Amino acid sequence: MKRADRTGWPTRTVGLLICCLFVGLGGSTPLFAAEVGVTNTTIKLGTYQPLSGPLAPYAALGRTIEAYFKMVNDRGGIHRRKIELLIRDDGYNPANTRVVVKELVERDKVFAFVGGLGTPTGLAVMDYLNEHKVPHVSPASGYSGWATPPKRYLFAQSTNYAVESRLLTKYAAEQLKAKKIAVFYQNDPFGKEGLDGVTDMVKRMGSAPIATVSYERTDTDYASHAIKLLRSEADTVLLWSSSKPTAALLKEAAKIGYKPKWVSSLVNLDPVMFKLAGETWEGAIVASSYTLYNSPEAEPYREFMKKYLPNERIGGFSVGGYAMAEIMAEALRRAGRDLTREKLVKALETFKNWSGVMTHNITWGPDKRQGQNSIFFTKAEKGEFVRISDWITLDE
Amino acid sequence: MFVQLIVSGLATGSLYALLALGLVIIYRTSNVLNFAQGEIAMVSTFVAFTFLETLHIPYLGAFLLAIVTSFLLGAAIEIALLRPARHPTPLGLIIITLGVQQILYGAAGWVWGYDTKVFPSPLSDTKIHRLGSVVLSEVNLWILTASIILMVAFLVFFRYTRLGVAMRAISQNPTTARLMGARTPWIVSLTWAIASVLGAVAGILIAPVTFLDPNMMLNPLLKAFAAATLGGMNSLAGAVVGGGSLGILENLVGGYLTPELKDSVAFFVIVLVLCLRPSGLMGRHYRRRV
Amino acid sequence: MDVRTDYLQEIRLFRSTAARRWFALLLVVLVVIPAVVDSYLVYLLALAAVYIITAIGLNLLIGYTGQISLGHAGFMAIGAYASSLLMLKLHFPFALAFPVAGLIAALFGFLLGFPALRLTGPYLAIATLGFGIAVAQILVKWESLSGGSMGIHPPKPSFGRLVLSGETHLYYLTIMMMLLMTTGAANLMRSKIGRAFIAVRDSDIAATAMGVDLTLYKTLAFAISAFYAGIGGSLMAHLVGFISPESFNLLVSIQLLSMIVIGGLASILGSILGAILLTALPYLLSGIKNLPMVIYGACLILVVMFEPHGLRGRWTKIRLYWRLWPF
Repeated sequence: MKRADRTGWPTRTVGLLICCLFVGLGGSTPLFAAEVGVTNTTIKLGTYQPLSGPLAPYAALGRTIEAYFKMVNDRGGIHRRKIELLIRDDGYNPANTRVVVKELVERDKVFAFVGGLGTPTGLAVMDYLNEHKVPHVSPASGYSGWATPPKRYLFAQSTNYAVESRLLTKYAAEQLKAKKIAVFYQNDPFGKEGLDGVTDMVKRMGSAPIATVSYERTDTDYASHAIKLLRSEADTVLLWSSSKPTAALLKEAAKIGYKPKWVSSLVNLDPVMFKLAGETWEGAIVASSYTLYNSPEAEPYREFMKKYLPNERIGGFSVGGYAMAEIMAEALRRAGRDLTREKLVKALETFKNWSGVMTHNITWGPDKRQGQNSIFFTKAEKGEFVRISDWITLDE
Repeated sequence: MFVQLIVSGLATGSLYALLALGLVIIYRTSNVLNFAQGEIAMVSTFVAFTFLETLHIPYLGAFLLAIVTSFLLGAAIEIALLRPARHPTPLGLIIITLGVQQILYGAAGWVWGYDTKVFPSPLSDTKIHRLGSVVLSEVNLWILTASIILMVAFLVFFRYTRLGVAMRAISQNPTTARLMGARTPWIVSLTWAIASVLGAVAGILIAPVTFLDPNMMLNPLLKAFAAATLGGMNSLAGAVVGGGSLGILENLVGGYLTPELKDSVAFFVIVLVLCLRPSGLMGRHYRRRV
Repeated sequence: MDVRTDYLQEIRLFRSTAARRWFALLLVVLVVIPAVVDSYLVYLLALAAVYIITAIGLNLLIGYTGQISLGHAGFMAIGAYASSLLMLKLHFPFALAFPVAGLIAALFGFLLGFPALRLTGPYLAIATLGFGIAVAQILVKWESLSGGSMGIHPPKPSFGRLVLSGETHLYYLTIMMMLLMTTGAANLMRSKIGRAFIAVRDSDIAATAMGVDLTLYKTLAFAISAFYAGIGGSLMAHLVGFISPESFNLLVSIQLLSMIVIGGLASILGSILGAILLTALPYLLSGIKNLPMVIYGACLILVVMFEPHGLRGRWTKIRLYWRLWPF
């Protein structure tokens, strides 16, 4: 009982804090407006990003979207409205995504989503957002299921993994004269789609991948993967892997003297690869679905990065963020001053071969929800990516 | 191919072994599983990185400074957080180390960011030495040499020096050790400091290969737990053997069976060992009295 | 005051009429909440109820029986996948799938209890840690069963023709289950089994000497605890509407552990407080990047160092303080 006396004030503080907690949770402000998330002066957008956890580096994408809208606001906003982006951390855990998206939709009342990151995370909220008629523009993932079957409120943008992997295979076989193709892929939805695409394309050309080697995102040592590829004697290895494992694999391969042609998915179109993989990255072929970050056309992007995100890397995930934000901005412009979700959908459906600074050839329509179908190829030369092909599409 | 897999497995295995060794000495003297072992190593590696890249201190100097930092960090954690715990139940101690792990992980992400960084190394990781058909990269050669030297020195220290004997005495019976004149609290702090130095060395050695980010030690730590279990939680030599064999086993599974299962090997090992021989390959089981 | 005069008072569910009245008031509040607050908060409360169920189960194991588990997310995963797959693949009705899922989890808990007989302290921690990770990895790799890392969409729960779709329905379902499971746990702890658990925790050798069957009670503790986690996991699956192995990682196990430690070990009220606090915390701290981890960690350490009985201990002290006020 003496103890109780001594601990008098902290107990009351704790009690008070718990009270505050409930009050804080309970209070919500109703908002009157013509459309959810839109007022006379603001438009509220939302996105989910892995700000914490193993995939936190990817959140550069979300930060770039945020900075882009800051630039838009500095220039007077869109139709006299400022854009406010709410970023929520889901740690790449789909169960969390569901909760934070619910919070954004029902508590924060956002108007629309842009660039939500990840495939499993996106799958967790795909139906929810569509049922609640909340538009989601450019989920940051090339999963092919976003647009097939089409969902009214989900606008997939970048060339999906299924198309990209087939184009990659075709290019390797036709331009690089690959005879024995092996695949190195991440054991998750992203990697599996790549693997399926490559396998299907190789099959159509009358053969099969000579080896398929998967890895887990948690692996630390890639020696056995490299040895497995070496033993398969593949002359071309398609990389469907994120940057760290890719670099580690290339280094291990170099150690055992294995030098195939490396052809990589666009995930690795990131200047950090030259640092991570060093010389072994020289000569690698990498796909790209955005304007090349170091090309003359990307000058506005580089200036934007210098001004608004001086600490972020030029190239890599920020390119995707810029592209998604510029699409959203264009759509909001087209939707007009009298903004509603339905008008945004209608506006998005008017995109026809639209290209922005970083985006290329986006077309959506009443029944078409896959915006882009084209990629081009680059080659890693002397610490820079150099464009080596035209935009190509899969003609089917 | 077989020998090649074993050689590369040993390099990773020695990382597990160093971490496991740290776990084991802490377990022996303070009877706690140190979940913060990996993050202490990660933070020390980041400290070395900061000395190298931001302050431009030469490699050896940065290395030594990082070792000193990790020594102090380990001792500080023990003195500030574990020693004052009011009712040190094994669960309470585990939870404190989990708390330290979360703090260090969050703080590292905050201070250094989550971006993958290249840890500068004086050694080339593509330069290789050939021994017959087996190739050994310069980095791996150094990882192996350095960890073997460190482990041997460490085992000698534990076996033959007064301090080492005192540490072993504390692990067997703290009260008696104290009565015999060992300054128990300080020796326990010292084991924490030494354990974190082992972690720091492991981190700095492996960082050029695995790259540097706040997540670098999450999985190696789980593997180190498996290694320590395999060798026996209270056996120093066991930790070394356990680490080495786990590294090799993983690579053999990855090379001959399928890389998909490589990551799961450690957990099969844990389950198997704990079902068949809970005290591990080289551990001893002490009977507890009521 | 809290002085008891006979043994029956010791094992009574409600200690006083006041307690009974407070409970009745709580019931009324829980019933009317959905009518008063917005749907997001209702959802969050339902989620908290899920965690309360799981945390109570974990507390039965750790707090009351003294057996540590760092792999409880594994049991949640088993419950979640079992109930979803039973409904999706074998077309079980929800009313059947959901308890069966709990029983399947309990079976795994029972099996894990056997190696646990031989293991103590740190060894058990490692074994359960390995179990939790192994479950997630098996779910990733056994694609034909679990859909791999793509995850699956559990169907909406229904009873006959009544489909539980909105937050409010699911809220009532989870709250009902939460009350049921909480009462169950409270009753269990007043019974012979509960007393045996506590005896095992305090000294398993002494407990054996008193005639407590260690094999039975340790495996039973694992099975019951896993049952709670399985029910929690199953409810979570239907509430969230999407599950993947990623949703049941090591971090979730650690979070469950944090709930009962911060709330208070060996206390049902503690489990409830801890679960509510840690469910709310991420959304209260969502504005602060990186720091949530640091705050979690600091909370864990501070609680163990200064308040081993957790929030429940604080709560008891607050009550004592006011009862004795102004002295």
